[in-house]
Amino acid sequence: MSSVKAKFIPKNPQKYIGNVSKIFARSSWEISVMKFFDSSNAVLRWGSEVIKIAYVKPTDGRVHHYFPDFICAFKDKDGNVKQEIIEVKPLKETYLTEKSTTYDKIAIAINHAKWEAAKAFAEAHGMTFRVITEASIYKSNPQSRNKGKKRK
Amino acid sequence: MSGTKPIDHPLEQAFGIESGSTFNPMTSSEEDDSYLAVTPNALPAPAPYKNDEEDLKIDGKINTVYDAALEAFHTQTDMVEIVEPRYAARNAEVAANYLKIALDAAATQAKVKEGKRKSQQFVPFGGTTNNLNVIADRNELLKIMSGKSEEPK
Repeated sequence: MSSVKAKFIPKNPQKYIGNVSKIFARSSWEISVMKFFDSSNAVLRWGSEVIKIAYVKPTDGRVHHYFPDFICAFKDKDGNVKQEIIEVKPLKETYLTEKSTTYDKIAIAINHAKWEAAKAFAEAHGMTFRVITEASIYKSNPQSRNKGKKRK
Repeated sequence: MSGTKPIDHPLEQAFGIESGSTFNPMTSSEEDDSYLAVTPNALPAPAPYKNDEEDLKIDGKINTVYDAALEAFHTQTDMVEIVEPRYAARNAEVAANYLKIALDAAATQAKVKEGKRKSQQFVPFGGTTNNLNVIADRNELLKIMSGKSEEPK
């Protein structure tokens, strides 16, 4: 089963790193972030799943590869150009709670292993790594945005 | 930039970007599908699978089993009508077994077909299709990001 959900066509393709005809979004939240990158004047360049980072998966102890959702270069309020590696994830998949199921716990452990590797990679290349959740993407009532439902 | 109306996007705050630097990507409604080239799951279907000689041989064997089992089932059911009542139940039981064999053969055939269909779908990276379309190495890509290099042609 393929996980590809929808093809995204940027309105400002010159900002995109890679093949603009092959940008795929996996959730409505990713589409929102893509739209932001595409339409913001402050975002200089961006790419979707264009870098591959090796990490050790805690469940099998073997090396796997992680493709962070986005990489982007943008100008902040002070005019400094920053580069970031970005992952879009639901808030509940980013930290453990008492309600977390065993499956969630395993997913969180794997996510954290990926993010540690991404953070190290980012630091080594003068970048920062960030996990974006629905709380950042939407102003209020994040639940109203399809709850990050995967497009079918 | 597309759109004419600057908006205060929530991500501007998250990234520490000057507010109002984002142009409204929406046209008339919140869900602007002009960004989406294809409707979900409307990606081109894989080419239909063509049976090779081995497939035909397997199909033939399964069909033989199916036909034989079904024929035996009919024979047994016919016999149920004519044998003594005390043996009828046993005959019906045997007929049911033949029917089960026929059903298993049909299920196997369906499974084989499903396997063929799945093998047609190329799924790279263990079930995930990534947007890896940059023809450059990672260092080159990072240079592009930092504005130190031109994008590869």
